[in-house]
Amino acid sequence: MIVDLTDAELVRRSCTGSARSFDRLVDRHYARCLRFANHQLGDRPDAEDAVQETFMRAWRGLATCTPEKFAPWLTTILINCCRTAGARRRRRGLDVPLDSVDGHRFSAPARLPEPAIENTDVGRALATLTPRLREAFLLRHIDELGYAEMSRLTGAGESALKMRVKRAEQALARALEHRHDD
Amino acid sequence: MTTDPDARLRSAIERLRQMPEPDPAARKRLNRQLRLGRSGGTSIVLSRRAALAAAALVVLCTSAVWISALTLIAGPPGAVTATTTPIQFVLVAPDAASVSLVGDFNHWDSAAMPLREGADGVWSVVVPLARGAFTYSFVVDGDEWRADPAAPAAPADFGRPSSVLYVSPESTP
Repeated sequence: MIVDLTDAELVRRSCTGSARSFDRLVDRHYARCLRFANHQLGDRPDAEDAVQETFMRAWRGLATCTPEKFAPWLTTILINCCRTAGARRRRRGLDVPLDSVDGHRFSAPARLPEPAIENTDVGRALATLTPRLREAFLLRHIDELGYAEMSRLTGAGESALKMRVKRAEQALARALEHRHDD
Repeated sequence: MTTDPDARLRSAIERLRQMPEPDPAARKRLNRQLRLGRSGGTSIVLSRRAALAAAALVVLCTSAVWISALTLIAGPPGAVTATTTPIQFVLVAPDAASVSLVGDFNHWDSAAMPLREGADGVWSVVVPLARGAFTYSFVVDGDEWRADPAAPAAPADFGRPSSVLYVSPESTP
């Protein structure tokens, strides 16, 4: 049964033209990718677009993937797609905390920009982090990756990543404490 | 883990680890794009934001409010015909001295379609457009290009921020 195959086997089958095998890979990794993108971008439509772009790129570049390393390879693509989407959001003037939206920073025909982060305490606290800190925090604590793998995926050094995670934890704890006090 | 977050932080991490429920419509869109890619057909990646913008456009262009607004806002160069759809472009720029619209539809001529300033720094212009996809941008004070944050970003902006607008036949009032 195709559902029992490993990622590596599904990648090999996909490379020979098995659409069902790639669909199974999408089924297996979609929610995980969406979780990261949603937290990183703080906006569900942008996150869904980033995940869609991730799988489209993965399909087009599957021949370059080492089958045994599909998940980290896909994560690298996802990180890049989220960075691109984040840059686009900043260009649109939307990547700012909801509390500090400045009417002079954006323009929109007949509607305000959507909130830059999910409307939850945790989501709002996450929004206080810079994209780099947020990315490192999510890879470490949500995807539960080791620093060596994070370094391979992001291109940043391990010591820099440890520093970012530490700073993210401190900032997030402060933001959560602040919101708890409110 | 090598870190020791406090209880509140640990609780937040647990909440963040919960898997989101995928939107069936988003999955369907991805599957459609993958099918197109496999068949070797021309694949236009229509993002959810683009789809929302197109849907909003349809609503905007078919509403009675929109029709009445046409009588209040100064008309653009060109006339609305049976084959075009009047599209209102709006930019909030309270500090601007001038704003103009440039795009595929006016050969990127910044003198062709100036916006008119309304209340509270809201600049607008109405342009009749035929169906199709258009790339456009706003030019503020003659030299600052600004993309429309309410529309999808153009995939290739030639180094300048620009946006994409889809005008469908259904947009016709």
